[in-house]
Amino acid sequence: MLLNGAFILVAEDEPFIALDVALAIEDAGGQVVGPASSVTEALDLIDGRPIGGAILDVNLVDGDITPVAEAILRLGIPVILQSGIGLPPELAARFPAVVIHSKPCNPAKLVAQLAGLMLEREGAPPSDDQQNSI
Amino acid sequence: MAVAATLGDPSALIVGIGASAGGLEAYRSFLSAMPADTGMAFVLVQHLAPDHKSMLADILSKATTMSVREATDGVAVTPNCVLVIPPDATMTIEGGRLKIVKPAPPRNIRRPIDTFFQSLAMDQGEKAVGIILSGTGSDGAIGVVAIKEQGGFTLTQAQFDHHAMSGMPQSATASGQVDDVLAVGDMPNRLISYQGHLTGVAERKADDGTRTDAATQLSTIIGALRSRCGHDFSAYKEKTLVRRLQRRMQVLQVDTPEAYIEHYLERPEELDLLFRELLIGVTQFFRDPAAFDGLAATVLKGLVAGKGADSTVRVWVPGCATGEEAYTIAILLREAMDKRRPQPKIQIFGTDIDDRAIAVARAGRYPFPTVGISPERFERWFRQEGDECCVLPEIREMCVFSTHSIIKDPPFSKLDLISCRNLLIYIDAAMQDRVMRTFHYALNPGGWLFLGSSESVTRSTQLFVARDKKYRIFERRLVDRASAPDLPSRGARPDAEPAPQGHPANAHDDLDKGARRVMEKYYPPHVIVDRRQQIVRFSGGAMGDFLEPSPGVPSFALFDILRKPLRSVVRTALQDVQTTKAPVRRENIPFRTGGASRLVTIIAEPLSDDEGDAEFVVLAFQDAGIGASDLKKAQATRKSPNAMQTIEQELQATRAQLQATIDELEVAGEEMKSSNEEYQSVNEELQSSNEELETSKEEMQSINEELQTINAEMVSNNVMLSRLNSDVKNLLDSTEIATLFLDDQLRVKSFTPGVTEIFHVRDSDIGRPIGEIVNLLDYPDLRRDAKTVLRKLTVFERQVALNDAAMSFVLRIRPYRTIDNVIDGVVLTFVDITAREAGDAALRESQDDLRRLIDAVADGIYCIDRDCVTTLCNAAFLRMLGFADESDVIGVPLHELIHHSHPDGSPYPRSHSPICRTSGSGEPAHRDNEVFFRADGTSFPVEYWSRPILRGGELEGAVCTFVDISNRLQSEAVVRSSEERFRAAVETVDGIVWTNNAAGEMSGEQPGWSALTGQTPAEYEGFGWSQCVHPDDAQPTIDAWNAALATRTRFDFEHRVRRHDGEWRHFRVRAEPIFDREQRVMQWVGVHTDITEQKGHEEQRDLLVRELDHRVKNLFAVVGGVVTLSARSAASPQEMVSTIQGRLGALSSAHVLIRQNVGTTVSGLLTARQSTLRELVETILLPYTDLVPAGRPERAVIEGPDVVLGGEAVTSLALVLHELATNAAKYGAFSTLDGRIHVSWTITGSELAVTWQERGGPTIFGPPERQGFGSLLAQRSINGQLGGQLAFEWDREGLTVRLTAKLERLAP
Repeated sequence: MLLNGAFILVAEDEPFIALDVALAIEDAGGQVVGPASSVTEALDLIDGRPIGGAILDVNLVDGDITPVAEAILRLGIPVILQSGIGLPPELAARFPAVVIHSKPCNPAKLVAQLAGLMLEREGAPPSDDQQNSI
Repeated sequence: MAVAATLGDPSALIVGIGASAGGLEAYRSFLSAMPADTGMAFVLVQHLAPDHKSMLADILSKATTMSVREATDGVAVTPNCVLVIPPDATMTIEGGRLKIVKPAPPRNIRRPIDTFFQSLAMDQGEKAVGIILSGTGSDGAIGVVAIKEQGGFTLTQAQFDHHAMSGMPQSATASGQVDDVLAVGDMPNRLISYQGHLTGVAERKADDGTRTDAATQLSTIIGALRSRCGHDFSAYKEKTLVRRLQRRMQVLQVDTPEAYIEHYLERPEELDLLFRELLIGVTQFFRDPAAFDGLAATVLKGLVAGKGADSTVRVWVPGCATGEEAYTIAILLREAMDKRRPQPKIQIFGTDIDDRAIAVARAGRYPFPTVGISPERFERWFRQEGDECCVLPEIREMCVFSTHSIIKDPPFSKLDLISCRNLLIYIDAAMQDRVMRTFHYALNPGGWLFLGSSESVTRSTQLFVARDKKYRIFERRLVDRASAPDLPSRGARPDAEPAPQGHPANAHDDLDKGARRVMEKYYPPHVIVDRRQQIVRFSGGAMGDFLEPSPGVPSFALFDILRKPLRSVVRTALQDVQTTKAPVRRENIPFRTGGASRLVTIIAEPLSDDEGDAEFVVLAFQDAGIGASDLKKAQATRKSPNAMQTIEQELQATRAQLQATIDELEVAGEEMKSSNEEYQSVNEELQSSNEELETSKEEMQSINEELQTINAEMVSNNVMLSRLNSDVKNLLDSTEIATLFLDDQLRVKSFTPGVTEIFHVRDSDIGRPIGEIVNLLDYPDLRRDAKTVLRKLTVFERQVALNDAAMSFVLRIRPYRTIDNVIDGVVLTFVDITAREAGDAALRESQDDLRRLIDAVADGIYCIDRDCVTTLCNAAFLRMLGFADESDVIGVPLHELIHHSHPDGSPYPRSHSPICRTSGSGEPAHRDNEVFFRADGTSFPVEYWSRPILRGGELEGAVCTFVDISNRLQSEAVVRSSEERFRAAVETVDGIVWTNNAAGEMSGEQPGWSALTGQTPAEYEGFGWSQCVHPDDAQPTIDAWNAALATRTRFDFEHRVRRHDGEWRHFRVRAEPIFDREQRVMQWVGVHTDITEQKGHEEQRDLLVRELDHRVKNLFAVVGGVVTLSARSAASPQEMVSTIQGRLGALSSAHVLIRQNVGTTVSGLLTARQSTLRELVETILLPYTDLVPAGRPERAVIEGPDVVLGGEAVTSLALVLHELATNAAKYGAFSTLDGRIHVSWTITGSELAVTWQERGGPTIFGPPERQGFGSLLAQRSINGQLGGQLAFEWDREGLTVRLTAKLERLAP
């Protein structure tokens, strides 16, 4: 399985997209944390939970995602952002290498890319198996 | 009696203290330093205001423990007390008691200190002390002299004392009669030691207060004085001398005369002080006025009347001191002469031995007010100069003053009057005699002597006869033999006076007289002869037996009248007496008288003085009886007849022989006598010649004195003359006017150095006729003109030049008048005017230049005088106003030349003409709206200025310049219209118009910019405008502006500018360069247009675009989700299609709601009004409710307050409601025909609570077994997006959904 049971945080205030992304994660063998629709909720969810990766919408109901993304990125955990309007300048300045996708975007592709980042981080080259299953 | 005790006690001094301004302080420090028990009394004489009660006594009583009282009339002056003069009073002292007389005399003649001191001096003598403290003026100076004169003691305040006004102490000190000048604090000690000295010497004094011991050393001191000062005081009265000497000793506090002698041996200047002390003279004008009146009446009138114009009245005032007496007589004489013609010359010689006094007399200046002069006399004969008064020159010139000793020096002679008042009282009787003889000698026959009130001529009655006994006026007696004054030759003892003559009368008393009368019968007759054998006394008795008068002139010569037989005996006897100085007796001298032979004994005995010098001899004749000697001889012969016989015969023979010898001798004697007579007469002649010579010598000496006096005056005149001479010379030199003096024959008299430039004249040419002297003048008629002046006595003046015309002069010839107005030639003055000529030429040239200049000027110029008459005009004036020639204009009144009017042609009253007003009042004028008319009547507009012409501050007229301004008016009109157009253009521009110079600097008036920014011209000046540009825009603006300047192309830029209210506004700036003909940028004209609102619209639009983009992208993402999720839950493709369509329909409905609201506002901005909950619920339920057939109840009831929803909330709620409605249609209330749904909501706090209640649907049997995907979606939406809860209640009657949402999440 692609995500191998890893906990993946989803933050998305749009229910359809959130569910779509969540189902795509579950389809890839990950365990969904969330989806959180607000920054506050997202911060609560990651508190004390081993997160393997995150797929985050940039704009949530109570503000932009920066605090959440910073908290996760600081730990070196891979993050994929999607946005209708672009990256907040502050975040772009601090983490120039962060991956961002413009909406609309296929959830399966997001999950596959996240899985790739997670593998890179672990240092283990992805197996052919895994690649083929996408 | 207290007074008596006071007078007797030598220590009871009475101290008079005088003060004026500044006196209070001085009194205070004096009294506080003065012990209270000295036995002295103090009388304070202060100058007080007459109308004020004086507080002086009260104030001073605090300074001393002595009693201090204000003086009252009759109060006794007791020791240890202080008396103060009351205000407005004159105070004197008499017998130790004060006399107060009120009121005081008027201020100008009030001298209270002098008055009191004088009475104090008289009353107290040497116990009087005078102190002068601070004050202005000279009061007290006379009083101090009076105190000194009476032997008192005087002090003045030292000038260095800090309180003092120095006027009074200084003038008192200047009198020379002040013993000491001391600080006030030192005075008490000085007084106490003076008191001690007085007490110490009291016992050595005689009853009259003179010291008995002083006299012993007097001659020594007089000798010392004579050798020091050259004046001999031995003839002065001893008492006077002793008293004065005593004074000096008191001052020096020397107790014995010997000590005094030692003192002056050490300090010879003490003798000078003693000399001054001896010279104290008290004098004043008209002292003893009655006597002077008497003098004027008795003597002066007659004296003046008896003299012709060419004769001189000569008066001598010996001992004149400071000259008041001499001036008094001068005034009296002048007054006596007043009404008389002719007026004789008057010469008054004032003499004194005190050279200092003479100096004062010569100056003729006395302190004011003077004493003794009546106001009328003062007015007439004196001139007041400040504190002093001055004798008028008229009086002064009558008097000559010189130092002269009446004792030592030869007298003046040929005098008409001698006024010698109070001099004789100082000298002893012998000297008085001599002085009287001197006076007798000096006076003309019938001359007058005027003495002091206590002097007389009793001892010289043979010389003077009294004419007025009361006023002591005496007339010189005619005595046949002029009594030459015996003057001591220098070096001889001046007091070689004949020995005191016997003064039998001195011892007169009646008893003596009687006894003498009886005894006269028994005395032998006798005579007293002097050394020259002149008889000076006869005794009574039978003198006739021995004396017989000889024929001819009566004579007292002994040998003229002594009987001849006695002469030889007496002669030898007298000779013996002279040689032996002892009495000589010659017995039994036989002689015949009355036919009888008699014997007489002659006794000669000298009347010798102490030194044994026989000045006088008493010659007595004792009658020894008739023939007594013959009888004795006969008796003797009888005793021894033979011897006797022989002797008798011998004797007879001898006697006969003797008789013959005697007879021969007698004859020889007779011869001798006649020779002697001759010699005698020769001698007499010689004597008289001698006397005449002596007299001449005296006169010569007198004349010499006069000459010396006059010479001194001449010398000073000479000095003045030579100074005047040098003044004149310097004046002539400094004026640089060549001056030539010619006499009446036109010969050179004198010339100034400048003349040598014109005439070849040298000092040796003086006296040569002017015609012989070569001159450089181009003026042949010089002699003729000079003669004309001499003849006509007019002043002649002409201009002359040198031959080579190098210099020119103004020659003035005027008659030379001496001071006596006699014509004595002519004076030629040559004033060099070469420079002036050159100056004139230069002036003319510059005037011509000026004329050319003003003619060259294009403006019309003319000048008028104060009467508005034209005095000057230039060429432009003539041209512009159409006059042919200057002569048509000059001298013509302005109004006849120039007519001017207001621009509208209305005429001008003359009086309003500004030009004339300028010439009248000096007020400048400027007009540019008037019209001048030319001579031909045409007119032109002018601008003119008129300004006053001032010369030396005086208004002389006005100068007016004018310009034809018709061209200017035209171009101004063009400019004006162009400006109008420009202004209109500016006003129509939407924005601010400004201008910059070529460098981009702003300057001048920029009303638009000022109104926009509120900057003042000073603030925007230069680049100051950039201060109003937003800091972020400033640099880009400047860069762009510089680029525009460089390229000289349009500047087009946008920036923010701070408006005057501080708000930043966006402006678009456009500026265009304006070029001149050479294509140089002259200035930039720019416009600022406010684009703030336009900017806002653009931003809104951009925002909207971004929003839409976002929404669209989101929508696609949602759609993607919808499709994916619907696919996951759909059982079949049909179901999937309907689910997707339903969900997309809900999204679409929600979007319609949103879009409806977008673009509904006029401005194009997003609307403020949003969709409401009701609209959303109605829209979502519409597909299920609009199919309700008519008559059926509503399927949905919707109720609740208005809740505004934002776009996000609309989408979420739309999906949730869609899901609920879809479920209701599938399984709930909408699945049946009668089912209804009640949707209601409330707002509680910050929460919206929505209740969805289904009724009338199929019965519900609990919650469904599996939660549908729609429910999950709804749950997520509410929880996540809206922050609320979603709860389902599955009741049998139907489903109830309770939904909450946070209001803040709903908001737009």
